[in-house]
Amino acid sequence: MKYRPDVVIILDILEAIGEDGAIISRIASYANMPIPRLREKLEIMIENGLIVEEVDEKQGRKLYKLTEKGIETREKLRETVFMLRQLGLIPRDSYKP
Amino acid sequence: MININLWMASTYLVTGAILLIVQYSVFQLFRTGYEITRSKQLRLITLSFLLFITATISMLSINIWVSIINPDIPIQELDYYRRLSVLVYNSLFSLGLFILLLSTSERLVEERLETLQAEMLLIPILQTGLGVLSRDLLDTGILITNIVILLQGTFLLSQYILYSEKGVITGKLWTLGLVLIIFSRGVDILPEKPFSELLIFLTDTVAFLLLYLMKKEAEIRVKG
Repeated sequence: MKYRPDVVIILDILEAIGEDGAIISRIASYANMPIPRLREKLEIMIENGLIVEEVDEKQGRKLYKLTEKGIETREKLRETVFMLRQLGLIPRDSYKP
Repeated sequence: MININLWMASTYLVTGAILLIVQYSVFQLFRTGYEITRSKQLRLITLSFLLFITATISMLSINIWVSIINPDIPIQELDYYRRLSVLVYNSLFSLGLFILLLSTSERLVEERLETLQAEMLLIPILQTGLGVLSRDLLDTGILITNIVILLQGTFLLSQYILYSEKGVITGKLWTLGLVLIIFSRGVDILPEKPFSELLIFLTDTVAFLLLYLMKKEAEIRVKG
């Protein structure tokens, strides 16, 4: 697996969750991460108030959603990753906008 | 002479204020990113910008001290302190560039950070020792730091050319900023030294201003 900087990984997860929320398998697929490792990241993000975990009552699955702080963070990280790519400090293809 | 001193001091003050504002703005962006992600790479980048800011403050402090607080300082001493300010500035700026380039490594590991932290301790020792440097050593030190920065700037430019996204307007401006940094150090290496050390400060300010413009473009693109 090609190396991706941590900042890109976090941003990929936030992008995968999006405005409508997402289940873990969809996030894992979008962010290209194994689910066990993804779970660790999600727990940290929940602790930091970036996302919340809800239960989808219709289908009985856990749904992850962005908080207000998570949305703001996503914007900030988009700017950060843009700058890092422009400076050539991270590979051009490490993040799909 | 007093008028020239005041003119130089004013130029340094205004330029330095602009430089500090733009450096701090970019520093804040990366620091926020680090606080969120705890990324080792962003920790290094944040540290590099902290060094850039420290370099600017050092340059400003010394020049304000000699130009405003001690306006009757003899010309020879004035020249000495001006060159000392360049050496301190270049040293910190070069260290900041080194750490910035280190952050590009794909194999960032803990021991690199520990080594860096140990090397950082050398800076206050170096700065204390600078006060007793002779002119020849000062000039040699400035020459060495200029060569180092020229090489670092060239490498950073190559990183940009190889890895950055094409078609970004401010990215091209950033190329110009890097070229200016490389150019000013190249000119300062020349024995004739056609320009004063103020040129270095001015070109670095322009370079960081262009970096600030890139940050603004990032904000516009994200908010869309």
